[in-house]
Amino acid sequence: MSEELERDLFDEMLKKSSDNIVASPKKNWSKESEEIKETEKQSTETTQPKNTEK
Amino acid sequence: MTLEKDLIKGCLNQDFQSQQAIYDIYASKMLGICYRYLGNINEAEFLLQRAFVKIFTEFHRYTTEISLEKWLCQTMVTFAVDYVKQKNDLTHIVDKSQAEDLSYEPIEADANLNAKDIIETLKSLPIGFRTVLNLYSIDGYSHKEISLMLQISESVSRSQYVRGRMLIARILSAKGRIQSIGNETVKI
Repeated sequence: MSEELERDLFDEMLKKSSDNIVASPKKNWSKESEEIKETEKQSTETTQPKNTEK
Repeated sequence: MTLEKDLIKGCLNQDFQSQQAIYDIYASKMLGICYRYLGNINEAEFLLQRAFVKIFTEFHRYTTEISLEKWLCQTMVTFAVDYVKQKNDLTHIVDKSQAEDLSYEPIEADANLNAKDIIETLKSLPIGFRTVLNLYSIDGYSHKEISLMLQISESVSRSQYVRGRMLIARILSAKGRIQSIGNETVKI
C-alpha cells in the first residue's frame, strides 16, 4: 500500500482542522528579538578562545 | 504580490521594518505550528521568537521557488522538530509490534471538528505519537522523511502513526467528536 493510499479522511480532517490553529504571540517581537540577539552575541563571545598575543 | 516582494527584498537587506511586517503577518500561524508540536503555549512562543531571529538572520536561504508562507511553515516545522528532539530522546522509541500487524481501521471523521478539539487532543498524546502524527497527517511528510528527521526506523514511524491515530480517535470519540471507529458506532 502506498503512503498516498494510506492517507484517508482522518488525516484530511486533522490537516483541515489544524489549518485554523493560530495563536497570538504575547511578547513584543522588537524587544524580544534584540534580547535574543544580544544573548547569542554574548554566548558566542564567551565560547570563542581569547586572542593571546605574544 | 508586490508588497510581499518588497518585504522579502527588505528582509534580504536586514531591514528591521520589513522583518517586523513579515513577523506581524505570519507569527500567529507559525505560533500555531509550534504549539501543535510542543503542546505548551509558553514554550511555543519561546521557540517562535528564536526561530524568527534565525530565519531573518539566514533569510538568504529563501528561494522564490516556493511561496514565502510555505517556506516559513516548513522552516518552523524543522525548528519545532529539532526542539522536540533536544528535549526528548525519540531514538529510544522501540515498537515491538510492526505497523503492519496493527489493525488499521477506518475512522469516520466529523467535518465539524474545530481547531480547539485538535489542539487539545494533540496536547494529550505521548510525544512520539504527537510528533509523527503532526509530521505525517498534518504536514505531509512521508515515513521515510520522518525516519530521517527523528532518527527512527520507518517501521517505528508507521507504528507510531497507527497507534497515535487510534488513540486520537478514542479521545475524540469519548468526547463525542467523531462518529465511528471501524464498525463500532459512537454516539455524537
